[in-house]
Amino acid sequence: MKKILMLTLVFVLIFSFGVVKANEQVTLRVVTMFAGADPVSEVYEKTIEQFMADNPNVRIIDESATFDDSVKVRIENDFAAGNEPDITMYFTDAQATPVVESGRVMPLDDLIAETEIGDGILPSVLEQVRYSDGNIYAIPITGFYEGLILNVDLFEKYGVDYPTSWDKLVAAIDTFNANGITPMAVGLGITPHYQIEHSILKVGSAEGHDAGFENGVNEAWIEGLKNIKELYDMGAFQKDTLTQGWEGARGLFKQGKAAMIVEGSWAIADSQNEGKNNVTMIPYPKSGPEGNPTDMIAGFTSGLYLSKEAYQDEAKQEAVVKLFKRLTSAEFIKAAAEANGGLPAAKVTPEGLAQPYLDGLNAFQQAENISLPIDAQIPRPAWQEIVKGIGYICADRKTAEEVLDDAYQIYLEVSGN
Amino acid sequence: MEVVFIKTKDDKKVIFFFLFPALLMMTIFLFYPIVRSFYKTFYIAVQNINPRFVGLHNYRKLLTDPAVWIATKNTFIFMIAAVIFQVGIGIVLAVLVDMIRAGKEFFKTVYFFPIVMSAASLGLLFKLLYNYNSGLLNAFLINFGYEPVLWLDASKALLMVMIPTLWQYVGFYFVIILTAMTKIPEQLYEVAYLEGASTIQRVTKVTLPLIFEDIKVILVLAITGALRVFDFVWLITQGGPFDSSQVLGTYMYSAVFQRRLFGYGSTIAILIIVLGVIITSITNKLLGKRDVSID
Repeated sequence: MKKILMLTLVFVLIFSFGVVKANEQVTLRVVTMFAGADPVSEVYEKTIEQFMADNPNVRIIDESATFDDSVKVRIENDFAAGNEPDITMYFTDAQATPVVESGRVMPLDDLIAETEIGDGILPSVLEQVRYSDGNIYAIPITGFYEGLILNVDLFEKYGVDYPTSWDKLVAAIDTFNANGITPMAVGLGITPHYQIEHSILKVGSAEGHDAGFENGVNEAWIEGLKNIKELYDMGAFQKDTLTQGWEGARGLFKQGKAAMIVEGSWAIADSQNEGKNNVTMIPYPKSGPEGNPTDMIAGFTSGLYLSKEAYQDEAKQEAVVKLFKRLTSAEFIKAAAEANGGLPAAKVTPEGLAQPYLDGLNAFQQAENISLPIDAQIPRPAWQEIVKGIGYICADRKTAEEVLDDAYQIYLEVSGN
Repeated sequence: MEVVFIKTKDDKKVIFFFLFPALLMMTIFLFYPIVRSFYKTFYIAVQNINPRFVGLHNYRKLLTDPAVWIATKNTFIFMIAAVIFQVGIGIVLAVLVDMIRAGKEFFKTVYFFPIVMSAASLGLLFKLLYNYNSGLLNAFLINFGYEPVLWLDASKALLMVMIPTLWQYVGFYFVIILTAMTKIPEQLYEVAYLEGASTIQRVTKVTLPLIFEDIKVILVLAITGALRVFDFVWLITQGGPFDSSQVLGTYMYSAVFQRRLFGYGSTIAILIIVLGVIITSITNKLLGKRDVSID
């Protein structure tokens, strides 16, 4: 009797192992920027839900978050500590270093050639995110374009021409100031990022803007920062611009209290304030002799990275590749581009885009030169020194030359020169 | 009657057994990070990767960085303000509430309430109050016919971030002092009353000397707490404009999280630890042992 009982227990044990094996759960950790107010978050969440429904043995821990500095550092530290997610959306520009050089993400060139990963992604887009070691590590989903978002209602109400040139920009600033409207909403004290890029691009040229620090401080950068000071002195920005960041500037524009805001395509949805604001996007006006009126800042600076450890894990490989393919599929990219109005990374045509997006895309297509943002080109500490210096320049506490020289010294310090 | 403690051979093992978990946690989450931070101070490690040994470079930079001096000065201003306003107002409120007969619990709850609210929500609240365009303060001013004020400009930013920081913890010290005052026997006050002592004399000659040990504790807490000031400053001004409201906590955070200079951020963290140890020692020495026994 005891023998029979023992045999039964052994069979039950073996059988239960078999059941567990057959239904083996795979857990995947994913981090993207598609969270909070991001326009793609709804599309993304639905895709994840659908994926889990289609693959009941896969459980996805979605750690997506709005990418503020603390989230970025958390991701970078996860890679440094070998605790990276299985799929990570992160930057592909100068900020990609901690992710790529951790050695913990898959080079995708072979996978792109051998499998359907990246199928349909535009080759030119893949070239834009190629890392300095010659490999492609990330697959972009959507790109962006930046420009001047205008509150069309305010321009029509006060009979102001769109600022397509420096003179028209000055005239618009004067008219809006005379009518108690903030001409441009910018948080110069905390987040002058887009104003820096555009002032440099449109005072100098794409060449000057893209000069980086390799050959010292470019004259276009000095003139660009002086241009911000000129705008500040003529009252182009809100009174508390030196104490504000993005939230304050975006809030002011949303409430219809500001006529213009320098932003990216991702901000168009929010700037419309659920249809209360009639907005459009135009290229930032040429502000100096070397500037080109059509030039824009745009491109692909983020993408999905695949964890090497997850890919090499036999238990996970199939599921993680399947999810990676789904999130880089033409179908998902189309849906994402339709949600955020950004540039699709695949050969797809977004449908049903609202007019401001079409205006922005049209400006992008007509641009003679396209530049990546300056923070995609120089090390983070040097960029932050410029960001911090704008308030000092506007308040006459430092000159543009001093701020850029400080940033250049930091560039030399961190790059070991 | 004498109390006899019986010691057994296993006492040390038992003590070690109970202390070990706490020691382990402290080692993992406090001592190891401090040692690791100290190690990082000798490196430039942008984005915490590819560290490059630079010897004492970060310490030399610390000494010549004007923002560090502003942040240190502001941190000391916070300390002085914490002693005067947090501890001072806490004591005054505790003495006043102790004197009243009805409503003690009500005032205890009201004054303690800000402590239980998250600094993030309070920070946001104050940020909105100070907002130039749509803030409550400027709405009042405009309503009464005055010009709106830039509450967070360089001349006022430090004061504006000090107000919520100091206000939030007044209730904490108030409750500690009020609790300490309950141990003073009522008879002492009765004797003082019969001797003809005024209310102020009763407070200064009876109450305060008898709770001096507790005041000492909250002084140390307030002073060391000033070294950890971060949340309100970061939420309201991020240390600006022009570093005018910068404190050591926010400057360390911006070095690591904004500029990604992990080595330099660690050097600022070491400065905070060293200052904390020195200031606590000085405070303890200055306050000395002035025990007054109730017995």
